[in-house]
Amino acid sequence: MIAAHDFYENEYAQFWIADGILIFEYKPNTILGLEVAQNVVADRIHFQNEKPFPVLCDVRGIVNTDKSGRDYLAQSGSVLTKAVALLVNQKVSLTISNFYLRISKPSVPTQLFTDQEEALAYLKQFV
Amino acid sequence: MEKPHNQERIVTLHQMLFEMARGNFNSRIPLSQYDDELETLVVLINMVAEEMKESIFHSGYVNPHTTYRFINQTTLILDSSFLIKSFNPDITTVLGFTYTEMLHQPLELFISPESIEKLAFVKEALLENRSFQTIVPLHFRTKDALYVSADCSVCKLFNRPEIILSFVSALPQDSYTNLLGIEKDNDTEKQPESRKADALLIQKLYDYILAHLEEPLPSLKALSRLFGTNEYKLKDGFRHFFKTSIYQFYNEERLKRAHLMIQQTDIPLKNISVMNGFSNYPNFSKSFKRRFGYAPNAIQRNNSSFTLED
Repeated sequence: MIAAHDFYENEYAQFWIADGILIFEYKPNTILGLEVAQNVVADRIHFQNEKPFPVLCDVRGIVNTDKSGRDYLAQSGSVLTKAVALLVNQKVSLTISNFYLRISKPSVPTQLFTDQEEALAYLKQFV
Repeated sequence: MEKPHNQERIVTLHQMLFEMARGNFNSRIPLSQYDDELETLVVLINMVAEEMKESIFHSGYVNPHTTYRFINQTTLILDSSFLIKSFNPDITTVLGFTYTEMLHQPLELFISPESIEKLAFVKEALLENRSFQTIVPLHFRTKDALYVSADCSVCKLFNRPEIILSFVSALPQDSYTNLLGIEKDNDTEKQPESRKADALLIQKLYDYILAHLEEPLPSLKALSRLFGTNEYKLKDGFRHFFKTSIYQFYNEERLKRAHLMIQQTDIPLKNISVMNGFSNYPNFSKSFKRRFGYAPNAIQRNNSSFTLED
C-alpha cells in the first residue's frame, strides 16, 4: 500500500483526485468479487474521508465480476460519491457495465462512456 | 465465427442455456481470453444465471413445471492432502464423472484454477490448526466442461485425520425418476396473477429505498402517492416479497451504511447520523446499538495517516 495525500494504490486499483474529480482505475485482469469490492470501497472512502466526489471509474481492467461484488458496489460503493462515470472500451467490459447499470442498479447517477473527455465533461456538473 | 475454437465455445454456451431452461442456475460457462462478441454473450449469460439463482432460486432448485423441489447435499471425504477418499453417490450425477474417475484423485483436478488458489488458503489454515471449519466458494468442473459453483463447507473431524467437504447443489432433471414419490410443496404453487404485477411495483419501491438512504423515509401515504398505488398494496406487497417491513428494511440498510462510514472515515458521528437519514444523534445511537449490540462510539475508527488536503 502506498499512502500519499493525492494518490493511492492497493492490490486492485489506484486512484487520485484531479480538478475535483476522483479518478479511479482498476488494475488489469481484476476479477471483481465481494472481497475486492469491499477492499476498494473501504480504501476509497477512507481516502476521501468526509468529502464526496464525482468519480470517474475506469473499469477496463475488470475481466469478470460476481453478483455479490456487483451488489456491494451498487449499494455501499455509492457512499461519498456524487455521480459515477464508468469508462469502458472492450466489448466485455461494456457488457458487464451495462448489466451492472440495468440490473444491479447503482444508487447514485451512473453513466457509461467510451471516451474519457466526455466522461469528465459529464462529471464536471457534479463538482 | 467459423474458427474451431468458436465452435467449442458455442457448444458450451448451448449447454449452459439448456441447463438454465431446465432450472439449473448453478453452472457457469468458462471464460476465454478473447474480447469478442461471443465473449460478451458468455459473461452476460453467466451474470443472468447468477442473478436468477440468487434472486429466485436462492433456496435451491425449483423445477417450475412440476413444482417438485430437489436439493441435494453432497459430501466428499478427503485425506489431509485433499485426495478424494470417498463421497456420496450423488456427486457423480452433479459433476458427471464416474466413481473410478474421482476416487483417490486430488480434489484440485475437479475445480477451476481460481478455486485451487482459494483452496490452498483453506488447506494451510486447516493444517496449521488455525481453523476447524471454513466456508469457501468453489467452482467444480463438470465432465461436459461447465463449472458448477457452490459454497462449500470444509471442516476437520474430531479425533480423525480426514477432512469433510460438503455443499448443496441441484440434481439434474434426468435423475428425477426415482424421486417422484415426493409430496407437492405448497410454497411453490403458482401465485395469483396480481402478485406478478406487484413484483414490479415492489422492486421499484425497493430500489427507491436503497437510493434514498440518506433521507428520512417518507410516510407510507407519501410513498403510495409516489408509486401511484394504495398503502395496503405497498405494505403488504413488500412484506410478501421481502419478509420484512418497509421501515425495518430501510433502517437495516442505513445502519449498515452508517457502520461502514464509521469504520472507514473520520467523519464525526453526529454528521454520519444525519448523512443516513437520522434526525438526531441519540435516535441514531439507540437504533445502532439495538442492531449491532454496541454503540457507534465503540467502533475503532480508521484514522491512519492519509487524508485529503485541499
